Amino acid sequence: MAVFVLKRLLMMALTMLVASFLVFSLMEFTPGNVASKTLGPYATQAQKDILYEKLQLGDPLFVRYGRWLGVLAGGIPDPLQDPELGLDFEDPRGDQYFGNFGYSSKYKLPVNDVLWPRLGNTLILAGIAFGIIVPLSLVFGVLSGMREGSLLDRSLSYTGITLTSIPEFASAVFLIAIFVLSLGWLPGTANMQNFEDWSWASQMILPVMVLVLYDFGYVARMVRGSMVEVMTRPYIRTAILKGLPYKTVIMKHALRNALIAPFTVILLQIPFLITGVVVTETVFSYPGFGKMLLESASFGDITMVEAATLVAVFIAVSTQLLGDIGYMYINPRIRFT
Amino acid sequence: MTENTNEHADVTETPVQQVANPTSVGDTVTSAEQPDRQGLAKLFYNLGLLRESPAAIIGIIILGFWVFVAVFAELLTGYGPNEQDYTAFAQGPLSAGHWLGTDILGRDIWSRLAYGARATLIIAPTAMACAYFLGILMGMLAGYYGGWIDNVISRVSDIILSFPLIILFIVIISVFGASALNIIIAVTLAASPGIGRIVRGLTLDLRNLEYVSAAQIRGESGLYIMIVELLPNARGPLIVDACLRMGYTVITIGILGFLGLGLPPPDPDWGGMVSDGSVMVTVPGMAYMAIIPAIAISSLVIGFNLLADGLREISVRD
Amino acid sequence: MTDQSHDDDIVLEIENLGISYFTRIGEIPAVPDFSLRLKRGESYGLVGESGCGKSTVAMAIMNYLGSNGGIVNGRISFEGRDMSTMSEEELREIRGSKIAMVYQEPMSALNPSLTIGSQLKEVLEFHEEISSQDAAARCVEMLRDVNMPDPENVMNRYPHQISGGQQQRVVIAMAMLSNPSLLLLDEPTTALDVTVEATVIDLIADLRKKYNTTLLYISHNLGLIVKVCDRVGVMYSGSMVEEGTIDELFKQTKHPYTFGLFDCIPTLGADKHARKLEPIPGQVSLPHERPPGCSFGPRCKYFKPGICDQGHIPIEHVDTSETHRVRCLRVDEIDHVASTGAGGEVARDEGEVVLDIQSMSKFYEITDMSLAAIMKGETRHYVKANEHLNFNANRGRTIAIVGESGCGKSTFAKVLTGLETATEGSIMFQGTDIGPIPVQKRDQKMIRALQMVFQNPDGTLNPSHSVGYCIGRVIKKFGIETDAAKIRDRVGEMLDIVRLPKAFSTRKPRQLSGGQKQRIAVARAFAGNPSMVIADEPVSALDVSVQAAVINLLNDVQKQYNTTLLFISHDLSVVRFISDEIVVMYLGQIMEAGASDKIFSPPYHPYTEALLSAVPIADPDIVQKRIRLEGEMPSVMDPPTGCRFSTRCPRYLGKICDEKEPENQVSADGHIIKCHIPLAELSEVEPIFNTKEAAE
Repeated sequence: MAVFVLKRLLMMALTMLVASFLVFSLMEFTPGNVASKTLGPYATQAQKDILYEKLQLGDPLFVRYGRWLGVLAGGIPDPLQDPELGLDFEDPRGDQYFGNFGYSSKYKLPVNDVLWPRLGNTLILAGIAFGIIVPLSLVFGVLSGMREGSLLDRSLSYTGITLTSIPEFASAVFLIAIFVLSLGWLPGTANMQNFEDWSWASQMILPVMVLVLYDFGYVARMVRGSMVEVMTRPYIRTAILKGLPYKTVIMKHALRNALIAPFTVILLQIPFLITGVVVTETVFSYPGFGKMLLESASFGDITMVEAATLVAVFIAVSTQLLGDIGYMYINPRIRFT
Repeated sequence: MTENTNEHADVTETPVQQVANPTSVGDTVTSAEQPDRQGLAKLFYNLGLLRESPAAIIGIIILGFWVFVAVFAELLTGYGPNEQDYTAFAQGPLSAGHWLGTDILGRDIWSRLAYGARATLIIAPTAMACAYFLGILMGMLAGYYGGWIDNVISRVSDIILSFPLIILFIVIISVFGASALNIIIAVTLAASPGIGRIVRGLTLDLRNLEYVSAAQIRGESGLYIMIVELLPNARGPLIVDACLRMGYTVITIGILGFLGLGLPPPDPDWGGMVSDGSVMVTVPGMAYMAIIPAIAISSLVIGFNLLADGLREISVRD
Repeated sequence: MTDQSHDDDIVLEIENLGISYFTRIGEIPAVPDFSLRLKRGESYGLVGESGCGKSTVAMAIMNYLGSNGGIVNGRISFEGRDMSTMSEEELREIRGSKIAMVYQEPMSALNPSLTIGSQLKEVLEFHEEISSQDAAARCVEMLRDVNMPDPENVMNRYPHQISGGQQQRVVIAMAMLSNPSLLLLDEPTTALDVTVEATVIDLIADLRKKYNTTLLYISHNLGLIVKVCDRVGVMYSGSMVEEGTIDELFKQTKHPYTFGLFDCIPTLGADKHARKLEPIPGQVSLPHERPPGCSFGPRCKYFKPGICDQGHIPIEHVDTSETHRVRCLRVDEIDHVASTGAGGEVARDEGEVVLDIQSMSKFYEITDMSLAAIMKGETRHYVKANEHLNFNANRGRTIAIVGESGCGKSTFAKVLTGLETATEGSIMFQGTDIGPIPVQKRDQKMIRALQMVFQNPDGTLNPSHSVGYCIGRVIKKFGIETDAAKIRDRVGEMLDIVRLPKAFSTRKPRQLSGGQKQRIAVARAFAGNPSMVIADEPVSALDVSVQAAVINLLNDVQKQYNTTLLFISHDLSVVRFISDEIVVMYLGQIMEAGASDKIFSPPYHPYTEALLSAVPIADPDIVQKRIRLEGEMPSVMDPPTGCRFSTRCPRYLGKICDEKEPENQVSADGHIIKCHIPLAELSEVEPIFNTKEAAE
């Protein structure tokens, strides 16, 4: 067990290293690009040359990547914060500390000052959505999987297919047309800045709904499939022929086994949810991580994109690790071998 | 351990369950009444099986409609996709000459939908074909040979899969620029590890079967075994998977278009159309500009998903 | 005797039961007409080949036929109450408490994610007013009753943590917990090894005696029925064709299907030279395509048109017997003579040595990455799948390798065919040491000379390829023919040899029955005219009537090609019938080897002795000496030092067995026994098999 976790932690670190290197090399493949992107469209060639020099952009990719890691680990001061550059980048934490992601050229702020509050907003949005998706799809999935072919099962099946087929941006459009345009009940944006016209809760409803609608169908169908399969297993027959009440058969014998497979699926939903989050945040101008990532990418804010990618990959791999450990706990066949 | 969880997840994605048939009898021929069919007859027979699933039929009708529209776009539309009608800006649906209306620049929405269908139905299958080629290759090699080959392929796949895909897309396309080719590359890169994982699982299930041992014992090469012995038997679940993935790829292409990472303007792109229209969605009378392409894209995805569901239902039944 | 007391004595009464499944192709009458009456305390065996409806009957008794099955006529009454009128609630009270069931696959019958204790306890908790503690105490007691070692501990374990035999004990304990009046056993030992099977069968018999339970024992194996039951019913295609006491059924057999079955079963008394098995021709007809009249008609050699194919044929009492009934109109006209020396084959002179194995070993290396192993620096373990195997095989002979699961017989086949390579020693095959050469490096001649037939008919043929492709590929691959037309001809010839019509070459495996698939597999193995064929349990997945046909086929084809046949099997009756020599393996080592008849008579290796004692024999006149093995088969990962069999040996000597690996002793009749006990002492035991008269 300990070895397993240790191995997985190593694997996780490796994944993040590879991922960050991949993004780094994609973003900084052409060094000249780095200088001009950082300085923005109005910089002179001379300014770019100075920056090129200062950042030692002529060095090979690996060396530059090592330097980036060095800044992140707090081993090297962030070159961009050098006052000589005249960029006016100043981090109140200093230019050398552990977890220094650098300075965002789009937001003109240290990455840490933008990234974490935005991530916090996203976690609120995704957390509420997740908190609704999971219980809802478990209940419906189990109910319809319990009796395959029943009316509930069929309707859930087709509802599920339809819901997973409507991309978030499309359902957002539909929902806005209904609730904002036609009914006027809810706001079409959720910028979380102005709560005078629309309360916090009313701003959250539509973004959460968009995320829930899309993922609910997927997860519920997964739970249903697993439940249907478990119900055909011989041990369910054993339980029934022991004379147990149907409720006990379901709750004690079927449910636990039926949830083993969807458990991983549900946790894998988290990286999946990130895609939905980017789209949803963009539609509703929600000040979250996804919108920030998209804005920085299209602006060419290299530092920010690199930092955000690393954080996103971290979230994805750590949920997977949690998923695997949790899986071991709910599945005794793996726990005791 | 990881493998276990992964395979489990895969299994639930494509349940290839064997339903015990209480009437199948020991030494009897279960389907002797089925005559042999070759070529076209076989194809028609298999299509005939779809009759038994209403879901699959609806799916095929929807897909057929969009394929028809995409192929005959020129004949079915009165305007070019980028042609602006300066007499009709933002005309609602059912207006004169523009039955689905025009957008804010006076472009015919129906024309743009039709040509957009063509773009989607070229990009998505191409990307899927590439992804399947790569995925099957990776999965077969990993599953059949195991050992270090499996380790390398699986670890690389794990890394790609642990990336939130949208980030990969945003990074790739913001660096290399938006173009059909880049979309195909990004989708291939993103989808092939998942396909590889499924193929690997299927290969692992199949490779211990006795006909594979029989082939090995008569000295067949690994390539022969993978292509002739294994692949045809992995076909069923892969077809279902491909339909699902096609649906998801259409969504992905839509998302990219919506986020401004799709086909460069002014070429029609469903996601882009929704994005353009969404600016006006809260303006009374203008919502159709976003709603119509949103319906189009959803219907195409529903088509793929219904077909996948129907195929799966049929494959489980027999 | 009044009517009342008579009724009390009847536990289960089934009258004219009809069970159908409703599917897309319409109603399928799985069981058209079935009657049965069970008295309290009796043990009734229901035999029949797969698909004859015996499990369906059991499920109908439980009133559990799934969503698409149902009872269409007749009635089942249990202790005088009609079960079809019972409510769900009443059914639930009976299930698990009055009627309990033991299933074929214990592993899948138990819930993998609940502890054994909680699965046992709930039986009592739902059927009786009992505290959790008292329930637990009762469960432990019951586990002790089923001879479960360390029952307190087992209560807290999960099903996958105990062995298959122990799992079945748990299932039996679960069934017996509330002391049911009727116990249904559906092939309870089919998934178990033969020595484990013997102990489970003993256990069932003991429990029955102790609790006076009525048993309905369902099995395809007549040998087990003889051991467990008082009365037997034979089912064919959904109907009971004959029933009677053991003696009536075996000694005054009336129905053509019943003696057809007996003629298919290899008996210990005769081998292939003395007797030929007589398979029943044809196939069971599908339930919805049953012929009118007698459903066995199309396969019956006594079939008479106009009599056997008319209307409904009732089951009638034989002569004056109360118990013996048979469903056959011509029962008085048929005088069946069991097949005699039709085999008529004289043992041939020994040909040259084809295969010579010298001290061959196969070790698998496994890495244990648990923390404890890393700390101790013992991350590498060796699994000794085969250890120092020595034996040889002559041209044209049949050598059987016998042993229970985990004995290494399949590994041995893999090494021979080159799917694995030997770790040590040599395997001289036609003058070349093939031990270290994997199949990829073997030349075509060598590959061609050594082919294989596999166990599972459903896995042996690629479902995507036609029969013709499958056989043709071998012919082409081995360069026997290259021209497409000639390959086709040759495929036709091969089909001929395995007695299938040429038209089969366009068929896909799903259009074939299990027996036909196995024939194709034989054709494929022999298509390259090999000098040796390895058959790995080729008939164990088949029904007896089909099994007989495949055994005959293997014998004939072998004779025709003068091929050496290496027959791997766990079924000693089949092995006795088919083989010239037998090799007995246990935990990777050869325990005993020699000519077939010598293995079956003293001196025995103690393990062989236990094996022979455990074989179910379908002959009520034969009594077997009772030797049961204690404990569990040790893991191959951690085999006992010294003699591999020392931990379970009934004739364990002491320290020497634990510490020193025994030498091979060669007996006067030329067979080899690996044991510390001197040959003289081993020879003194009486034979395992005795006729009843001799025993008395």
